[in-house]
Amino acid sequence: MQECITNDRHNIIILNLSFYSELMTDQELITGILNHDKPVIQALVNKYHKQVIKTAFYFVHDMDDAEDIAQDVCIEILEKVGHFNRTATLSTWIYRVTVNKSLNFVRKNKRKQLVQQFESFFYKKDGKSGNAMAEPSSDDNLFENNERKQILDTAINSLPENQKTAFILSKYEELSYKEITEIMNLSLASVESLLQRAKQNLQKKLIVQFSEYSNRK
Amino acid sequence: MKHCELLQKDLFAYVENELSPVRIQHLDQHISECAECNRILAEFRSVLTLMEEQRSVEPRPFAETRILQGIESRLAKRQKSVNPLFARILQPALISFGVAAALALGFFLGTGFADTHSQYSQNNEMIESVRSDLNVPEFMTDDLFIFTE
Repeated sequence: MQECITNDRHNIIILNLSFYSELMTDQELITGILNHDKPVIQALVNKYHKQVIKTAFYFVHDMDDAEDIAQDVCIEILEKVGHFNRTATLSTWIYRVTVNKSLNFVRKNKRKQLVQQFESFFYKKDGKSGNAMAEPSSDDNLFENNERKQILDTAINSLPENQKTAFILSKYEELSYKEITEIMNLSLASVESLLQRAKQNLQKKLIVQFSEYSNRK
Repeated sequence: MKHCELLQKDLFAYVENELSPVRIQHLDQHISECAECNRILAEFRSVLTLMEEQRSVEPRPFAETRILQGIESRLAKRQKSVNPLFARILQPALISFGVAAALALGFFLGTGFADTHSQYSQNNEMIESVRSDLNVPEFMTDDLFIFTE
């Protein structure tokens, strides 16, 4: 292990930075950012980039987009750290910014997809207009992982934003109800209710999707 | 309510073991007899397994470096976008103001100098006339003259 580290300069830097960032308190990070201290900014990115990318990915289902959102989140943190309410933890605030950025991205993307669908409906390359529905796949294994993934992503995306956020933070991020209440700025009862409704809606949508594929088969 | 609907209503709770033992037993019996519910349950479990797999997703290698580079370049772009404002509007305005201020200063200094010069000339003429009227020797009035050349 030691030999491996000493042989790889990049690893040493990353290891040192990880160590440095883990030791820093929220207060030290905030003070450093306010002073435009470059190593502190690197430590902030090192400490929180995984959390931000993963959360964004659960919303947008694409790693490139998740990294772009992570950049946006980091820039907002650097610019608005002066307005940060110190009663919450930095992690909670970063979660909140990430969720908002991700939801904004999904909203914009939905509009873009609608326009693309509209255009492709009328301007098909072969000149035929009409049925925008995809032809059923000839492959018998309709429920292969990719298709399952698509079904799951579609079902989660179709949830109302509050339910989707609560569900992702609970089921994917595995955060406690208390943490979710802080991030979403809601009461415990509201979060419980949102999660309950999210599960009900999700299972309903999934069952419909399963039946549709089953009928096509 | 039909048994199928009962299962479909409590699918999440059933899979996550959140139902009462009696209810679970009841649904277990139905699932063993209903092919459709059996299929839906199997698909649902597969989707939940997929969710577990997605949960363990990790950022790609060097994501941190890319984010840092992205932040730096975007902050630098913002910095640049501030500079044109200075270069196009503020800088010419400041230079124009400086030139105007220098011209005004030159004008005021020049006017003041001209006034002083004419005042000294008048004084010299007056001294000269008094000296000639009273026949005062030149050496006694020499110190009174102010040379304006």
